[in-house]
Amino acid sequence: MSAAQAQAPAATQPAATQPEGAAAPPGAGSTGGEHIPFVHGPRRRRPLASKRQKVVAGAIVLAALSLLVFKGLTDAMNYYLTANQAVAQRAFLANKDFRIQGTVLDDVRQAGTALDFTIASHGVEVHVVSTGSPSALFKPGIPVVLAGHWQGDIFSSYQIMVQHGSNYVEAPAHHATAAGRPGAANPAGARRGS
Amino acid sequence: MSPPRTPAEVSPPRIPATVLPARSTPLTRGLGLSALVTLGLTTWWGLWVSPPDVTQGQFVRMLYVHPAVATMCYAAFALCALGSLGWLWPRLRSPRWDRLAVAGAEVGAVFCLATLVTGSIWGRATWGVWWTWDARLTLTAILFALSLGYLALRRAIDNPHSRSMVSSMVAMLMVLTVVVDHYATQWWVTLHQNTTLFKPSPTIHGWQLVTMGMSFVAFGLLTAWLMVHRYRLEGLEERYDNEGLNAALAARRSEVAPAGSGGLRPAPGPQPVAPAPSRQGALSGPGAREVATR
Repeated sequence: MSAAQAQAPAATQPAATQPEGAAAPPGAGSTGGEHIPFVHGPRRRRPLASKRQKVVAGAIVLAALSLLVFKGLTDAMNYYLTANQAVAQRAFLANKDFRIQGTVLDDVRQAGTALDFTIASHGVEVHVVSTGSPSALFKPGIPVVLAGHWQGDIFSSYQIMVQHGSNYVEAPAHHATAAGRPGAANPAGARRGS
Repeated sequence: MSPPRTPAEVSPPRIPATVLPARSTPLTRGLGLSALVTLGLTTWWGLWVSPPDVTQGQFVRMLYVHPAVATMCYAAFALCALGSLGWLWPRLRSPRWDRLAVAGAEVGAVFCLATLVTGSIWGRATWGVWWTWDARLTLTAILFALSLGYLALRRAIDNPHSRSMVSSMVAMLMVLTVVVDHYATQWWVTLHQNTTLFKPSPTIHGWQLVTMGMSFVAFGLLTAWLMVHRYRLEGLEERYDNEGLNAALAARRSEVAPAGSGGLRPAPGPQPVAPAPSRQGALSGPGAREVATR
């Protein structure tokens, strides 16, 4: 180090006349090599390999999204008809598949492999025969949404979905074990296959 | 043959060494720790302290995960939209807003997936189906697809300005979806329940209310912690990119002008390339002026 410093004044005499040192404005080149912590490999963000690949990827994403939106919106806006609406539109619905909503009445019984029960909404009752297997919450008094179609006066269903509201009530302590197993609290025979 | 360019001509703007903290700070550590503690409390109260529900029995315990996760998904996408708006606003435009946007989108995408998964599990238990195409579920699926599209766009566009511009517009679409998704259970008939907590008189009480509230605090802190670190990481990645450019320039410079540098003053950090043997002396070459201008 000291040797280099000792040589420096003599060695820089001719260098001072070089255009490189003279041309640079003061303070312009303050980045320099001193503040570089490391040298690393390729950059983090690389563009996709080609423009064609980008277009294909974009088209696939767009197609998937359009399918999702189309399928979703047509289904979702009219997710179900209440039992009274379904009865009113029976002629129009004919034997098309749709979803019906109502509260399960007390007459739930097993009929072979199917469940036979009645739902009601706004005072209108609909007799249902369903091959779907409901969740453990299924019991008389609970609202359900059923997928299926009219078969005469009977709603023939292949899927039972139990609806639950936005109200939550803590189970009393002494009922905790019974309420802890929702199926156990249901009347016998309410669940298919139980 | 053109003469070698001087450092003054090729130097990129200097990146300050302390743009962002490279590691966690006491504040972020505190945030992470409080998220951990409140998540622990939520787990304890949710699984052992709070009683079962009259209708849902033990399945009610999903209430202490799913709504909070879904709300944080919305909040993260809202922050993404805020960052995008800040970037789109000409007077405010700065990389900081873009960092906020990308942090929000990424954290939001993670929470959106978590919302779909926890909702699906809860749905199978209570409704009896893993999935159905009602308005709430459909819009959440669309939101998740949009967030993946947003993140893919950011990877596909290399120009930082175009990247921020295009992704900001997708962010606006995402936050619009969030708003419609939020109101979906009120605007249309859905299998999904309506809101329980965020209304004038919540229809939940006692330990169930306390535990649900704690779950919002816990997942809120977790979201904040993830956002802070993702924001910081984005800043560090920008710095990494810029310093990579600096290093490449320095390497190129030493190729075209092989002269000794730093002979008078030891450099604080490691040198990217070994200095070439001095031909003219320690005060000439690229390093000389830097020393002279300090």
